[in-house]
Amino acid sequence: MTRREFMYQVLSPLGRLTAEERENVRRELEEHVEDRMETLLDMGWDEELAESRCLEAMGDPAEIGQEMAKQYRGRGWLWIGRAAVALTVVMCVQALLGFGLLSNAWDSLEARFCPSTAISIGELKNVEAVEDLDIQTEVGNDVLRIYQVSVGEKDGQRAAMVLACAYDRWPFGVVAAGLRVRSTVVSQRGEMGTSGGSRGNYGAEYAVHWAPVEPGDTHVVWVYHAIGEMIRLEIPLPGGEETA
Amino acid sequence: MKKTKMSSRRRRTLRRLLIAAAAVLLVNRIFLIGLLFPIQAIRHNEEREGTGRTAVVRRDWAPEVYKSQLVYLTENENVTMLNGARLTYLGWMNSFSFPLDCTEEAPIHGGWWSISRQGRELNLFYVFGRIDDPEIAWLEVFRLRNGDPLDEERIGRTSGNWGINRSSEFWIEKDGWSYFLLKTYPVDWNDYPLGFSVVAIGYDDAGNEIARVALDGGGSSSSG
Amino acid sequence: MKKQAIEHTRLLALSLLAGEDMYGYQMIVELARRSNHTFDMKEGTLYPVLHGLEQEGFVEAYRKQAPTGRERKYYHLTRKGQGALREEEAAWKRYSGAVNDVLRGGAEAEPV
Repeated sequence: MTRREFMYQVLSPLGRLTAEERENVRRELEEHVEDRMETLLDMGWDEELAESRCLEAMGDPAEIGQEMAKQYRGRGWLWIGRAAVALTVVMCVQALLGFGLLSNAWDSLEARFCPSTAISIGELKNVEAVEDLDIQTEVGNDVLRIYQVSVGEKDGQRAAMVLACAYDRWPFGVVAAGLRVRSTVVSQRGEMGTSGGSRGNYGAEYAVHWAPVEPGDTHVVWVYHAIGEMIRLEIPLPGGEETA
Repeated sequence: MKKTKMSSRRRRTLRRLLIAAAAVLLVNRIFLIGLLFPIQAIRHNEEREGTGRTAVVRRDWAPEVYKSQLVYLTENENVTMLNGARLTYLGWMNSFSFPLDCTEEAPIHGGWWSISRQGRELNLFYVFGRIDDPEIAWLEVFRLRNGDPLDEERIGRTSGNWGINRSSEFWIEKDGWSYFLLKTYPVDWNDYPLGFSVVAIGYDDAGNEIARVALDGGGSSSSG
Repeated sequence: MKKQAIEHTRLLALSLLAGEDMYGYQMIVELARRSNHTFDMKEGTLYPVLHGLEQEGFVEAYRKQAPTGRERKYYHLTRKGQGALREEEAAWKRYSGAVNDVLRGGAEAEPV
């Protein structure tokens, strides 16, 4: 029997192993024969004789193969592993297809660290004062954040412009939709304001609201309507102290 | 000296599972897609509606719209919500959500929602809600043609459902609350040029009308 | 291969690896040396045993350059394997003790 025949007989019952596992078995046995032969060759044995002596010492190849096959019974693990790889591939494809959805994640972070003011551009005339604020409150599992208030002129009337955003308590979480329609702003004297621009996605919601302001006013009120509750946030006006 | 680790089947599988779990978590949480279970899409609905966590009252399958279209009736102390979810190439996605605010006292909180699919004639008409008046033993739902209050159409007449009572499959008891979820077949919008409103009427055991409530119109969702 | 032979080979393989990480051929040589050639088993039968131990998590394998300069597959006893070794050792001691008792008893019963 040659080495080749020996290996063939060992491997033939191992059809249920993966190609890699089979190759590992073959390689290991080859290495064993190689080590054993080296010893014999060093002792001056003839190569052919040394090989047949080594293979004889190995034992019955068919028996080794059958015993080896018994050790690889964990077919379940193999399939679970394959399923896990398939799932990973599917998720990677999803990530590629949904690359644009990262804007949700981006907005979720932006709103909590430096909310965008791009939403208010060009609406306020004759700006008297602009003030960055950070008034935060929890609504459900979201955070409502008032981050800027300005006083100026809108449609010929003196008004306060309030910028707000909302995001989930957890970064990358989903925020409740419709910050604009859930909110109203009223003046200190109870006059209803109007709503301005808004934008939003799963990551963050932005809204602008307006309230009329008269000299002497020190604040306006942001009202948020959540299911089963109403939240009122008093927003101090910039320079309110002086006017008063 | 350089070592190359070799892994047993089990160890390799565990490693692959760990990687898969991380990938799922990443795509689910950061990209908000790749949801493996429809209930996760309902969780997104809850977040978008700001209702807080709800519990499933009933799950209905609507293969007429999409093979994978599921409709969930869910509830918590504040809302009763009708939700849709279906399997897309981006995993399970929420297709619509309609929460009824149940914080104010009323004998019946109800709403309707129509779902359809672009390019298909067929649409489904769902009526759902919560019955808070324990005296109500029997419910009937009518569609009223706007501008013609006398012309009532009892929903479900054609399929032989005259109403919803405690023993009917559309009446669901859960945690001491009573809910109803009724799926009816197509609305021919041409029949309602001025639109319609939907009314639920509650009767007691003796058949006396004890509540009449206009249902919130949720509108319709159609997907391409 | 007889089941008992496998059990014995398992125990021997585990105890050989308790001292240091080894590759298959090295284990055979070491076994022959330590047992003074009493365990002249068929060398190939060691490998199914080693692979079984690997799949069960009793040993871990890695490839490393051997002192001969060639790369070989080394086996390393894991914590789980150490536990298994202790258990099998205890079982073996009970078994061999019992055999000894029987043998000794038999000798005493023999007429002098």
